[in-house]
Amino acid sequence: MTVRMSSDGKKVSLLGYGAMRLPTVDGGHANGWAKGASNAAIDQKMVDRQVVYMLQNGVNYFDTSPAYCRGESERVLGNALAASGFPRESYVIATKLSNFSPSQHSIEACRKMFASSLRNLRTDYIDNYLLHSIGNGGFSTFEKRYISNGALEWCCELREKRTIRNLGFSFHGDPKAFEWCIANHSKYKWDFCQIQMNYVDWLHAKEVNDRNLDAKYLYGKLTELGIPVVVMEPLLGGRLARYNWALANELKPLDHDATLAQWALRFCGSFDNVMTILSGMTFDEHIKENIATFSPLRKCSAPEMEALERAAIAFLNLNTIPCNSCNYCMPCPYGLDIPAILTFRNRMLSEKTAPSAAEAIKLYKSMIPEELRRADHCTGCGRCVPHCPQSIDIPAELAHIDAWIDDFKLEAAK
Amino acid sequence: MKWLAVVWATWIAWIPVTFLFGRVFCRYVCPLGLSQSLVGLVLRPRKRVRRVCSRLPRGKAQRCVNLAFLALYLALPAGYLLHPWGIFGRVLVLFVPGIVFFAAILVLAAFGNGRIWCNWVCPLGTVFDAVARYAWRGDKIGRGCANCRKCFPKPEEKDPPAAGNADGVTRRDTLKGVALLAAADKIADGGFAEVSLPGIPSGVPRPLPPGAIDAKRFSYLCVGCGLCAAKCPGECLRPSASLLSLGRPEMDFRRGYCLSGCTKCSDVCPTAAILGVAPGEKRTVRIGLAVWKKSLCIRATEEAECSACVRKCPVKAIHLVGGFPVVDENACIGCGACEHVCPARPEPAIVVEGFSTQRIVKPIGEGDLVAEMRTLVENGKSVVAAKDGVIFLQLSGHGFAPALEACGSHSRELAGATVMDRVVGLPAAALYAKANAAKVFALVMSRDAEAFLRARGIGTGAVELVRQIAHRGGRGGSCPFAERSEGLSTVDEITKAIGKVTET
Repeated sequence: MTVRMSSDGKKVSLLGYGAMRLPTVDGGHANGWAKGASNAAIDQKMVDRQVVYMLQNGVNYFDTSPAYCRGESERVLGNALAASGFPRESYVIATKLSNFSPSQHSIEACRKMFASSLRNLRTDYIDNYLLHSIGNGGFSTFEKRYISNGALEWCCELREKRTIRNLGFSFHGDPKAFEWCIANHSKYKWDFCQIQMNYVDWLHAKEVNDRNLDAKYLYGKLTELGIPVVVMEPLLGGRLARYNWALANELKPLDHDATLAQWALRFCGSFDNVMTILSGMTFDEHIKENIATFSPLRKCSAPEMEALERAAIAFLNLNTIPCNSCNYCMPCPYGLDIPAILTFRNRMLSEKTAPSAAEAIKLYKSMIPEELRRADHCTGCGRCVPHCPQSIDIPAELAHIDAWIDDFKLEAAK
Repeated sequence: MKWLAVVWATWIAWIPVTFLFGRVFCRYVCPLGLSQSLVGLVLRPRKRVRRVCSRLPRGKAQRCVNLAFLALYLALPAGYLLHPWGIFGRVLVLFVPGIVFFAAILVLAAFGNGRIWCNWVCPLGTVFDAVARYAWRGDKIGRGCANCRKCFPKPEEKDPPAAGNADGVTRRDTLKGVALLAAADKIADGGFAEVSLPGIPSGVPRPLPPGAIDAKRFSYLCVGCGLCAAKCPGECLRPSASLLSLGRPEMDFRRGYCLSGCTKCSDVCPTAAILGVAPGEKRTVRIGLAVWKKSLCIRATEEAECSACVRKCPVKAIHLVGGFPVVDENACIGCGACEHVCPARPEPAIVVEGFSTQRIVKPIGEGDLVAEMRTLVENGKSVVAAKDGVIFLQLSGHGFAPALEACGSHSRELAGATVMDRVVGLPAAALYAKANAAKVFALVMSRDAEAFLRARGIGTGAVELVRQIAHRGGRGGSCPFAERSEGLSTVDEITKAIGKVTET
């Protein structure tokens, strides 16, 4: 297992375990795509087993949040780590101040959230504490969440008390928030920063959405200031790992044995200032494959980087919706399965699994089996929009997909 | 002529054939009859069971039963249930009460004495039997018949069960309530809010499939075979479970809605109960009208930012005015998309009321309207026009500015014209009167409005237009200004009231 150093001199595995897509007892995962979202309980036994396996194989970075998996992620991960039998110093826990809801903006609510994180994770200190998705909802929201309520100052105090060992932030959305944090680095001394990085977002994040910043820019800024980078979405929620004819076309001829996931992970690992790469590994196979990729990690050569850039362009040409099934939009108050609907569109574009209209409808119905959770029931209330870290105009996309489905129905009837 | 051809083909056309060769239809064509014979053949191959044969005598009781069912078939609206093609068709489309009914007939055939349904109940059988008695080369009892009469009917024959089980099949969902606002304070990610199907709105006439034209006509022709329901890609046509229309298609917007451009039901209808509609004309067939109820709408009850109906309407007939949906009666075709997507529970807040006679709308071509209005406006003429419930006004010298400025969304299209959003009925008539327009394109009007204009000797042109437009009397209620102008009688009062509304 390739290892890098954190700001406080701790050895951190380059592969990190992201606890956002934990397995559920119904065979899906809590923020899943294969079965859509799920209300089923998380499979604690499976997580226990996975955590032990990872610790045995040198993976020691565990990333969670109070918001993940319907609020269950921290507790399940805490249970698994406590039951693993490994000493607390041997692994790194990262969790976040996920005070998205206006009801959680006050400093009291933040303190409560932190206290519950400690309790759920069964520990008395957090190695890496993050301001969660600082650009979400615009700069004014960022100010309300962390600046005007004094939460950031309080976090710095906690760091001095060593209850937090490293302070950082994760960034999505409004670039202003990122620039503000960078500009104030001398004051807050960020120990690390979590950004969305992969071979598509490296140069093309702005193409996907005008509000984004390219990962190359973010990485460059952070490296300049010597802030270690934690990579999230290295596989774009699995979209760079699952079968995709455009990616397979570009990458398979170079190495028929390498999986698409390996390519994407190797890309991120090729940059020296990357401390760890988070992967939401739901199933044992994901874990085994990823551990193999990182033991040790082979950096990409220059021609390989060029091939990845070609693959990124081919991927962009598919015009998929930039949804990574993070489920931040869920639960939709009207019960829609938003990630599954968007994933349906993406599968249609990137897998070519449904050549006829009738098969497209079949796929749609199989991905969203409950009719009241399908796209036509979107009311356009827009409550999901501020939650989306990818700034997707979800109601517009759903209306588009719904019209598409109606066309399929008409075509299938002919 | 399609329906004539097909209805004749189903049985009337067989009368001449029967007159020549006996009950050929019953023996060799009717799917219900053939399945009874098959069951008898398989289950009791040795037994010589009673077949359909006009040479066999019919007792008094049998004749009475025959005539009674024939009368029922001809007289009752639900008489079509006796038609053998319908009985068989309901099985083909896996309609459960239909299958039970069919099974009962087969059981009778297998363990009773042969084709009991055909000989006792079937109205077609009765007619064919009567005709076949005078046939040229009629039915033969069969080789080796000793005329022993053992196969003759026994007097204790029981009637087959009536269309049973129909009451037992209820698809009403009793689930109530949706946790609509459960996620208002969203702290964690993932998971689902609860969903439940809405109840069926009670006391609302449901629309007929587009192309049925008329309820009466439809009830004569539909044999309830269920093909349309089986093939409906919008999944809104379902076989009815109610006793009087068992197996006939029924619009159920809880699981789908009538897709615009789809003509599948009329394509497959074997009896032309649903007449052919050209795909291009589908959007012009109005099968009903969406009616919105404020008391149920979650915009009123929960102050939710919902615009499900507005988003989904394929003909853009629903507009948000003053925060609530307003249905444009002239544009709505009754497809049920709004009812299908309405999140209000336990009943949808917008419900399609079916028409007993379907109507055809001829929408104004947008390009023509805009172009013609532009010419008039450029020449300094004043005009009034309405499209999709939006009234375009150009006034010469009248002071409507405060009322009209608020509605600028269409003014880009019509430079120089003032635009009035969503005025219908009486207020529209008042505006029309005040505008003293050079040309009226179309006014969405209620009868009140018509009377209003007539009483003032204004606008014979408008009255004529009213006649051209398929308007609905007394439904001016969806105009946002209707309430404000209630009780007001003069043009000036009403236009003043409208001005106040739009200012706020």
